[in-house]
Amino acid sequence: MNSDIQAENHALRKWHWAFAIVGVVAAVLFTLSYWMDYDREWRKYQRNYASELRAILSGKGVRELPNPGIVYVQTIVSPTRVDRCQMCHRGIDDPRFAKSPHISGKSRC
Amino acid sequence: MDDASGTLGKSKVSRLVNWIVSTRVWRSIIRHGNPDNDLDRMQAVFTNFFLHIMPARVHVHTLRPTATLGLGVIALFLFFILIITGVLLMFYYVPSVDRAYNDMKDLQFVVSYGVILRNMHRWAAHGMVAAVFIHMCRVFYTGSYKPPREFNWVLGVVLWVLTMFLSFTGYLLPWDQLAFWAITVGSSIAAYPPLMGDTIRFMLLGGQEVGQGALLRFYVLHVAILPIVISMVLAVHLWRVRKDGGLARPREGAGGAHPTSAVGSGDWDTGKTYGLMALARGVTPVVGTQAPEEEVTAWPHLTFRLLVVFVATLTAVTAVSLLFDAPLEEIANPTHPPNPSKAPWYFLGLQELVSYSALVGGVIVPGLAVLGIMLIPYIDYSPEAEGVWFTSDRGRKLAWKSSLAGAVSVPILIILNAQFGLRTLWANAPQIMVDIVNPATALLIGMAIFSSTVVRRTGSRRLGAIALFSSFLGALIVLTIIGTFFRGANWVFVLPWEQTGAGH
Amino acid sequence: MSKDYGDYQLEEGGRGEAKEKESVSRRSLLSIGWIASLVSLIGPGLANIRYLFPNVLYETPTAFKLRKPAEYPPNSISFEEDRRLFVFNDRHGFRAMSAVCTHLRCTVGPFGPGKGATSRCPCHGSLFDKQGRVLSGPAPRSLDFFRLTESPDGRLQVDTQDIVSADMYFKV
Repeated sequence: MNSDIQAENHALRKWHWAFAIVGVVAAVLFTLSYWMDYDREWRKYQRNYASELRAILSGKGVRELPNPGIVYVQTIVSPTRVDRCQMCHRGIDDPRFAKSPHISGKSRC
Repeated sequence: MDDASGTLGKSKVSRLVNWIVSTRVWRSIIRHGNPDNDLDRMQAVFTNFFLHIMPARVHVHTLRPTATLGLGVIALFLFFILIITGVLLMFYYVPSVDRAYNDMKDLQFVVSYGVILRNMHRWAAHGMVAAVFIHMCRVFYTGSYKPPREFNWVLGVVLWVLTMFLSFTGYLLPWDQLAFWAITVGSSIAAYPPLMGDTIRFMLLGGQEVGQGALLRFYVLHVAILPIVISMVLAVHLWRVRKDGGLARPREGAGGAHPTSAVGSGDWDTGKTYGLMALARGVTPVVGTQAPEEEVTAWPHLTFRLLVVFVATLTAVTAVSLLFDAPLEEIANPTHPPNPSKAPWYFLGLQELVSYSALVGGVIVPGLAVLGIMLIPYIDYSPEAEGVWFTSDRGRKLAWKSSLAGAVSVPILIILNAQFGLRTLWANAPQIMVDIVNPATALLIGMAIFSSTVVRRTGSRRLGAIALFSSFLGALIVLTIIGTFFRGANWVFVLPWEQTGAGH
Repeated sequence: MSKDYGDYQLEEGGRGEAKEKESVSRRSLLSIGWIASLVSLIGPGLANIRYLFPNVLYETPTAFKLRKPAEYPPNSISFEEDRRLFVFNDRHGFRAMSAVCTHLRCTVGPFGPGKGATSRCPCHGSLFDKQGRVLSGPAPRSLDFFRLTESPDGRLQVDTQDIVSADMYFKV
């Protein structure tokens, strides 16, 4: 057998290693991208909103506390204009949240 | 698979697999057996539509990473990633000045996986511009443009220009400040060619300024016309790689006798029958003089490498996309340009030259550069050491020296221009004088004199080509670095850490 | 199946070499590589399908306001063209009926005058009466009725996701 071909067969073994390593890195990165796409910054603010809302209502003796959940809030102002402030600042137009730390300090959009 | 049959034995699974692959339907789809012998391995490549662009057998030299650096296939895989992500982005993007920016914000905030797809499209685009250019440098320095590959080199240069146009047209689509002003600057360069400049700009923008007409035109160019054109040129480019005898590689044996069998050149009336493969021009794996012992089957030696390179490319693009978000600035505002307004990075070398003379820097230099690069294989057609990096030790040294010379001459010329430039000595100099006396022109003339001196002294056109290409490369890299990192507001010199504007 | 072609080995494949002592076998490297690569190709593929389902729609909201009750003449059927629904105002009160054919979503035609008036769908000829019932044609079920309420500014309000029975009236 030609020595070049022996060397080539030896090289293919290195490529098998490369395949395994690169494949695992790719799979890890995909899982990471899935998580990063899910765990957006505004989700944190909406979770704060939900817990604050429940705190306000439970203080008023409301029994069945609502769960506002995580939603994509967009106010469609016109076909070409969209208001996205409530994605992070949910409850910005709710007077009960006027003193809330997640609203106060933020100018109205 | 024979390992598998050993361990699974006569299990039901392997019997089912055996039954499936022996059915008439399966054998009508996959015409060859399990590729565990060389005939089936070659059939696997030869009979498969997606693989048939590859030869059935490849030379071991072609498979060495140092021979090609895999840049061509990396560029191709980036192109595939761009097509997939680009088509997906089209589902949400509307090319209207009212909606475009809003759609980008939607992709960023409310569409699942919108950010990652947009990031991947952006970074793969930059990656493709870079990969195509470095691929061109590889082909140049390994002398792979020599006959019979001259025209494929020309096609490659066309692909490079098309890649830049694709990237440039895509740059406008987000309709933010970065996009709007980069295209305003870039399309103004199109107005500088004498006589037809304004016509070209008007046709490109569909109006006198960057507005709805320009957005729609750039969109149609970006998603329909240029992809179709580049796909067709790409198909011919890849097809010719095969027809010109595979990748260039060093010749074997003393003397390098290398008969080529071109159609019509031989005596065909010998009563022999020829397979189609024998008609291929140039040195095909079948008609060459090299012994078959130096070849291996493309399956798996080439196909497996391609698979690994593909997964690696995808991984790299994903990694960059997770780390860095594609820039999206404020919505385009035609009354307030950001300072500085910069073109995409691959045009910043040109923008630096444009700042001296728009005609020379924006039209003559790029025009001559593209034309000159295209003409390389018609000026240097000596069959000298093809497939060998830098041809020889002398070539390697010359390449380093000339790129260094090109790199150093740029800052020197810029400083000379700042101190003793025409406009500093003679403020009212007519424009024609400014176009003639400026760093860009000096650079061009310097390179021309330098490389023709090399040809005269060495008597080798190849060395002359190396001198010209390397000094161009060195100058381009330094110009791009200066344009990117050392130019701030009002295009004055700044140090990189004093940069205020954004740009990509 | 290789037997069909006979033994055509020009060279030993990588397998012969791989018999040297190897800490990790070729098979396990390839399995890891293939499984991981398929995860990282099928995963994004599924993610891209998820991408095609928008989270925010730019459609008209399902709840909207109509005119004030007094603007609908007594004993009349008004067709709200933009909203694709009929507003009935009779002695029992107000009702809102969908004008979207249950067959293939065309807008059904207007009701004629008189007691036994019917509405015909122009697309495939389904015929509906004033109770939304299918009299003839391919429509599989009756037209929907929507709950009517009064908005704070005194206008009728409809939510097309709130479907009620045909005998549910809204009284001012």
